[in-house]
Amino acid sequence: MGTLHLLAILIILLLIMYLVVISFVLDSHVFTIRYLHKLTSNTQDDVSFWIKKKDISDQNDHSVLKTRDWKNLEKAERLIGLQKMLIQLPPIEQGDFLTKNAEGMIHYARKMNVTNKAYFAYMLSELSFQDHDHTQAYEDLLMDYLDRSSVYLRENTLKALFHMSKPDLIKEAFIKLSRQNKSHSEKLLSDDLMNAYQGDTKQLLKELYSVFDHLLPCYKIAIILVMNHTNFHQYDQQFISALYDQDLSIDVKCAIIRLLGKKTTPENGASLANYINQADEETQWEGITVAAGALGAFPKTDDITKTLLKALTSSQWYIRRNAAHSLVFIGMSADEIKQVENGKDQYAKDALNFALSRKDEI
Amino acid sequence: MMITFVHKLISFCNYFFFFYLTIYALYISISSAVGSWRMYQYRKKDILHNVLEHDFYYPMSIIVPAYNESISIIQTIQNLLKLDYKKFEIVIVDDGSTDDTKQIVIDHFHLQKDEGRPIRYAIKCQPIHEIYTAEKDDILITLISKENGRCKADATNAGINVSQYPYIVNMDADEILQKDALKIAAHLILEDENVVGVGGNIKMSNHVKFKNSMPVETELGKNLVVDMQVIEYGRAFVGSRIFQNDCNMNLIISGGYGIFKKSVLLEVGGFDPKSMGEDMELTVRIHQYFKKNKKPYSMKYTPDSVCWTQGPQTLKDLRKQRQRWYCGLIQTLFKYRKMILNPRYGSVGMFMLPYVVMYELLNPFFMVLGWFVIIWTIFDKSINYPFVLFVYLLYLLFGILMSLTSYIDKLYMKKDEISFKKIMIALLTAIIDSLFFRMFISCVSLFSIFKMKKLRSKWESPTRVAVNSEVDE
Repeated sequence: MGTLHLLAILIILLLIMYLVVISFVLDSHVFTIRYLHKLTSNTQDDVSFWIKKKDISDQNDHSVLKTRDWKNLEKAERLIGLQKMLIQLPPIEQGDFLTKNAEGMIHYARKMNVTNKAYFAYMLSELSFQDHDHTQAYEDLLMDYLDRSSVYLRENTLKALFHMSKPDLIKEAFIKLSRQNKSHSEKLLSDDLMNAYQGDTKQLLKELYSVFDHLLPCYKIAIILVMNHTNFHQYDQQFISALYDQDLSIDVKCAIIRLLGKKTTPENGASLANYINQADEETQWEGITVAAGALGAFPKTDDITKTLLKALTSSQWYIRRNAAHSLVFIGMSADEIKQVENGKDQYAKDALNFALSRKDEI
Repeated sequence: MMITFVHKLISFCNYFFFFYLTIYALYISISSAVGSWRMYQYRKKDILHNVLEHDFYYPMSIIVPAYNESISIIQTIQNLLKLDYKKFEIVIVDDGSTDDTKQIVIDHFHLQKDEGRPIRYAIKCQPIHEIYTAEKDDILITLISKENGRCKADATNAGINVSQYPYIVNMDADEILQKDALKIAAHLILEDENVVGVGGNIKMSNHVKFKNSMPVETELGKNLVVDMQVIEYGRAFVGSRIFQNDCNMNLIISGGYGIFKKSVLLEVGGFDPKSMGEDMELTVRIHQYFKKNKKPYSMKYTPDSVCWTQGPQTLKDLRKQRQRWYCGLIQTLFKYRKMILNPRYGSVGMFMLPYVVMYELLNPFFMVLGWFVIIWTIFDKSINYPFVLFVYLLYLLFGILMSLTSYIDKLYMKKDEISFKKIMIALLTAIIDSLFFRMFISCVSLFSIFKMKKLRSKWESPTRVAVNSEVDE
């Protein structure tokens, strides 16, 4: 058989193989679509499965399901069914069920694939742990979940941990994630904390601040955002010192500045003005920009006015813009405006004139 | 001697086409299968709460360059105002239109002129003459009137200079951004702090009815030219982009709809006004910048973040569009030729760029070579008709199935619907696509080389029609 014939046969075989693959892909759509439909709308059978199992176990003394029943957690539809069954129970029964069936459930919760684990964590974040003294097994499970890299698993796990409302646990989670160099969106962290945490927020913030230096920037920012939202200013002095720390991330500094800007005391105003005057524009322009904007909320002082007038002549566009807006906010005397108008810096004049023309909108 | 040479050439071509077509079929099969699998996983993850459910938003500036867009601009802006997104602004850039685009926008939205507004030309662009602004429903609308820059890239750069938010959305003036598009795209940025660009799914808005920026009725079977593009876009956006997304080797975040981190655009110098394919050129430049500087980055793609665009409805308009795209491809590949097969650029340099060279840039030439081989062997009487026909039919079937698979992936899309009738129309369209459309595109590409100089840096818009869109005031 010549080479060309061989080639011809190979081409045909390959094409047929590709056709088989593509046909398989097409066929698989039918199965996958049906399966997805089942997961979304057809879980009543799965809910009934768990209700039946619970009823049988309630008849025995310990109300514990058999270990082999928990093997069903490997299937997504059974997992969804369990969540739907549990959510229908009153909180006391939820907590009771979780506590008594911890061993079996957690054993299989460790074996699941990542997607199902994320759902399991989500389920825990929605349920009620009445007896907080018997949640150790779930806490350990959730802490182990943090070892995985899936952002969804991490998000749902953190929500569940926040929901448990134990400051030590949250502190431990942040430290663990920081050690593993795993970032998470600070906005998600702060919002989830504020929504899910049910304990004393001030106490939590104190606990988290005690390990502040050991955390990644995103966790630091999340803590500061919560402080900002809850008007917690216990550590303002320490934060003011931190602004001069060369190693501190500029994003953390910006969060600190926003926090300080919320408490418009003369001390904070003076600190922000000092920061603007002392910080290096090349490396800290973002922080200076935010500080220049924050000063607009403070009562007018000579120090603040002088600082903002100087910032108006900065080589950085955003610093000039924010300084101009803040000057308009705090109010300028005719002499101060004239001082800028008669100056040589055209950019400063332009920025101020535009801010003055938009005074009503600002 | 000449005959011997030709025989050797034909023999070489046989081997060459074997490998060429095998690699192509392999890539398409893998990318299609991966695309379908990923879509299934996305949906399953949604159901199993593997999502970042959050009301969070990244403030975005939507830049809409406009040149003689008086027919569609008001509708575009009205649709943008209906977006389900917390914080964004709309920046219309009138690039020296010769019609009344600017005045229509000023009158309709009661824009006021910003006197003495300082402008920071962070990216080079033609001078900005006037800026008008107004707020509607707490959304800032800015209209920039500037010197004609002869291209969309220059207009977009002007928009970036005036924008105030950290993320830039670029789109065309005749498009409808689906209501939830930005929300879905923002989730990708939330998931990964290294994301510098997000590409979305572009679909044909021709013959689609909209209400409040959501499609209520999608139609196939009204215009064959449009339908073939629907099939083609499905192949490209679902079949290929998802796979490329996995390997961070997307070469195009479409100029029709793309989101970029503003700081990155400023670092790399914005869009290139000299490029005819400014979207691909920018995307490749971003890859080059980050790989060269060894900074972590990713450019993502999401099929659920949808923008509806008006596609050419006639072969004439389609030809113009594809000529421009092909010339843009040549320019970009030539400009970044040092990245090709360069291990420094990872999967982009070692796989994606060479693939694009072989299967998009050189494809028209290989098509000509293939025809030469067939014609020669006919005259030479060495052709095996049954074999040629059989292989051709197999490849036809392969192409049709590929197109159909990508179309049926709509089943996985959020808020997309499909029916048996549509599948049948899609099947018919896929047949015509394999038989005719692809060859037409290859021929258009081949002859566009001769028109490159003429096409360079010129606003080209197909004939616009008003989109069937209702907006609740």
